[in-house]
Formats: sequence, C-alpha cells, structure tokens
Amino acid sequence: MKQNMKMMVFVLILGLLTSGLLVGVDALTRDRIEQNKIAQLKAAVLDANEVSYNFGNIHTVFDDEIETIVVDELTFYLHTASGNVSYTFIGGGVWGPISGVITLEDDFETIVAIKVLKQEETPGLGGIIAEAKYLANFVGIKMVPSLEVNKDSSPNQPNEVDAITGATRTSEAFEIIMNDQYALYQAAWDSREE
Amino acid sequence: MSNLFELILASILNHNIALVYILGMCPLIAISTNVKNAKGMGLAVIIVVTLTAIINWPIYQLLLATGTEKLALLVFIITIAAVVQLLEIFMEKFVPSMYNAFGIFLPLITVNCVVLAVSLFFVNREYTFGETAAFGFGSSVGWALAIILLAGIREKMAKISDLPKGLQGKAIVFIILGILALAFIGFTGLASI
Amino acid sequence: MKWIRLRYTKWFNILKDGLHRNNPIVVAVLGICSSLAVTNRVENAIAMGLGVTFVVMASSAFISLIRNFIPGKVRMVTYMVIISAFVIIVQMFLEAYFPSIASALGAYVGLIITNCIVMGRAEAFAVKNPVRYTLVDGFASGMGYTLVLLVVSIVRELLASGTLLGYQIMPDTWPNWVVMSIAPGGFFVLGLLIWGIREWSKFYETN
Repeated sequence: MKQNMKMMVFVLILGLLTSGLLVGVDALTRDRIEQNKIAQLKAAVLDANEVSYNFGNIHTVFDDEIETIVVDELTFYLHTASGNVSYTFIGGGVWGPISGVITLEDDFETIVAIKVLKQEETPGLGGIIAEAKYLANFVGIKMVPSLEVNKDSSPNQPNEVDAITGATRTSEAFEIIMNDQYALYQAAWDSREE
Repeated sequence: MSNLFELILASILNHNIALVYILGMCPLIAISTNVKNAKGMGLAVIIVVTLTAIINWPIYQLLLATGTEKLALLVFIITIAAVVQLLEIFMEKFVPSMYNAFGIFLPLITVNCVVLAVSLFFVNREYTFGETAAFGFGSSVGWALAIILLAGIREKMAKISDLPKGLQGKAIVFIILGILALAFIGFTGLASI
Repeated sequence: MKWIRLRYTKWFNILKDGLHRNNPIVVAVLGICSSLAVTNRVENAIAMGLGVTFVVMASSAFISLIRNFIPGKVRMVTYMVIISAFVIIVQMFLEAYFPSIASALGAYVGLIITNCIVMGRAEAFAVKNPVRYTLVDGFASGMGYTLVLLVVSIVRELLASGTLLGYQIMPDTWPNWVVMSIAPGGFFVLGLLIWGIREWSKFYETN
C-alpha cells in the first residue's frame, strides 16, 4: 500500500509540474503565436490578390487594401480594388485539422487562390495538400455546383480537380471541408447582398 | 444507431488503425509469433482502448469547459496509465484466470500508440460520447484482427516455409504486413468514419 | 594518458553500438510507425531523423538526471510525460519565434512523441547510466535511425516520383511506382533492407 501511495504521489507531482510548465510556456508564447497567425493570414490574403508588401508594412498595406466584413460571425476579406473575397476555412483532415485561406472572384464562384496554413497530414503524401504546386491546380476552378476531387483519369470538368495520387483519404477530406465551408460562407455572403 | 454501426465497421475495415493508419506497430510485430499470444494481446487491447476512450471523453469535455485543452495530451497519458494500472490490480484480484491469460501484456499497452491515437482522434473529429465508444471499440477490434491475422500467417510459415535465415524474424514480418496493408486498401470507401 | 584512452573506448563503443550492433530500426526494430510515414521523401527523412536525434538526446539526458527518483512501476508513464511535455514546449517555442520552421515540422511532432525509440532508449539506457554516456547513446541511436531512414527514403523517393530531394533523377518516361509512396511500399523496402543487412553482417535472429 505504501508503495502504491509513493507511486501515486510521484505521478501526481510529475503531472502537476509538467502541466504547470506547459501552462507557463503557453502563457509566455501565446501572444506571439497569435500575432504570427494573424500575420500569416494577412500575408495569404495579400498574396492571393497579388498585392506587394514587406515584413514592416504588412499591417498598414492590409488595412489600406482589404476591407474586413463580418456577417453572422463569419469574417470576409474584400479586396476593394478587384472585388475578390477571401475567407478562412477549417475542417477535419485525416490526422488533424486542415485550415487555410481561400480567395474567390467577385462572382463568389471561381477560385483565385487557396493557401493551406495548417495541416497535420502525412508529410510528402497527404501533406501535398499544402504545397503551392498542388494548390495551383485549383486556380480558375468553380465551386458550383460543388467542388469535386477527381480520382479517375476522365478529363476534368470546370469544377473538378485531380486527387493526390496515393492520398485518397486526404483528398476526399479536403473536398468535404471545401464544400461544407463554402456552403456556410456563401449563405452568409448572399444574405449580405440583400 | 445505424451511423454507429457504420462507424464500427469502418474502423475495423477501411480505417483499420493497424493496417491503414499504421499505428501500434511495435507491439504488433513483437507479440505476433503465435496465435495464442496474439489473441491475448488483442483482447487486452480491446478492453483497455474501449475503457480509456470512454473515460477520456468526459475528461476532455471538462478540459474544454475550463479552457485548458492544451493539456489534453498530458492528461490522456496519465489517465491511460492509471486505467491500465487499476485494471491490472483489479484483474489480479478478481479474475486471476484472465490475468494469467493476458495480464502480462497490460504494461505494454500503456506505450501502445493505438491507445493514445484513439483519444487524439476523437478530439480531432469532435465525436460524441456514443461515437467515441463505438470508435474505440471498433479500432481496437481492428487492431486485434490485424495481429491475429499476422500471427496466423507467421505461425503457418514457421511450420511449412523454408525461409532464408536473413528473412526469418522481422524482415519477413514487414513483407507480410506490406501485403496485408495492400489488401486492406481494397476496402477503401466501404463505410464512412 | 591511459585514463583518456579508456574513456575514449567506452564512448566509441556506445557510438558504434547505436549505429550498427544495436541499430534501433534494423536490429531492435523500434520506431517503425514513424519511419514508414516519413521515408517517402528524403527531405522528410532528414527532418525526422534530426528531430528524433535531438529529442532522444535531450529527453534521455533529463531522465538520466532524475533516474534515481523514479519509482519502478511508473517508469513508462514518467518517460511519456517528460517526452511529450518536452516536445510540446519545443513546438510552442518554434511556433512563437520560428513560425516557418514550425509549419514545416508540424506533422512530425505527433510522430516524434510516439516514436518507440525515444522511450526505448530511456528504458534501456538513460535510466541506468550517467548523463554524459546517455548523451552519446542518444546521439548514436538517433544517427543509426537517421541512417536507415535515409537509405529507405532514397529508394522510395527514387521509385515513387523519380526525384531525390526534389531534383528529377529518373528520365521523364519513368512510370512512378506509386505503391512506394504509400505504407505498403515502405514495409517492403524496409523488409528487404533488413534481409540484406542481416545476410551481409551475418547477424541473424536467434530462434
């Protein structure tokens, strides 16, 4: 019994110490991580709209060129010069959440650019979903009637994109994320037009 | 209800945690020398994984409510270790026959990636309690299926095949696993998770 | 003079052990889950290998420091808690101060935590030996692991996409062996590699 008590006490102390350490480091780094995320998001929106900026003036350039519109708790980033609209998407991949920014033309149907900011898929396989080379396939693709990931060798329709060879599950998960988030954001955007 | 059944089917076949997600390989390779051990280990994994999934879900809800999800990984590790320890004590006292059958595998399960992975997956996929229980049960049954399949093949091969000495042991196990993994790809699209 | 030579021999033996005689993947068969996932490309293999080496060295050193205070039965839990806490803290620092590196390595973090090698070296070596030897052992195991990862990933990347580190090596007419980029391919290459190494070094599995 005494030995069991000693074990429990040790694990408890260990748990408390490490939890304390984690919470402490989290508190220390939380702000910086948040700032980095915001900077990444702004960079993605500006890149999609081909606006040039540098590390120093990214926030001022963003405020000048992009209008942030909130509809029903959903945030849209409108590029006033071209009418392109961007929003962030997030959903479940195979191993963890996939999140990023998608930019559409002013018809809210044609894709201008997609940038994946965070994902936990298998590096080199499902992880290709985040690579610029693969995401370039999405440029000019239409989100209506719905985005489809094409697994066979038939020629692609205007709303179809090739799947990643060997990473079927990640490709399918990404398709679901895209369509679900699009339905959500499109409903909000349409309600705003009225 | 049918959704839960589909979840269980999916986690046994086309989302098999051993042959499709390639998790829990170390104990899979170590304990698959004969079917008897494999059955024991498989049963132990089923009990531990289902139990810990059921216990970790309300704990995670508590973490969410207090805004401390960052500690989820750490807390899960500790609850898993505690559950295994308690299970060992419980089995030794009340069901000694079962304890003799597979009790020795219990400490090994603490470090089996499958246990932790199931908990991390239900967090990622935001499952409900029922879905978590079904997923934990299905995944562990899938893992048990994989180890029993592997053990059956290894046992048979040891009796009738004339393997070169370099292939015996771990090398041939990898080749068998590769073929099994390839076969399970055939289940893709069967049921959704 | 003699004292220095003795020290040199012990360190050298530990090094040789980790790289060859007790190579984590080929001999001890540890760290398989992750090696299958990341050996589809050489750059992933290098990143993972370096990451694991770093984590093994650091966490083993820490465990070696407190080895006299860990009660017997809770060894495994202690290792897991220390290793995961350490990896998470490193990840948080990277996300805060080096975000580009963090996003490149994001997927590996989970793989490193559950990597049996880290736990295996903690159990087999760190908890019984002083810090300085543990550091060498950690380095050796990590490098042995990286070596095998490199060999497997070179074969897999070459066959699966005809490239090495992104540079096209195979001619354009090469039909990509996609099976090499998914898990079964990894299994086959690893199995054949182990067979080859065992035949060559005559280091067979004792039945």
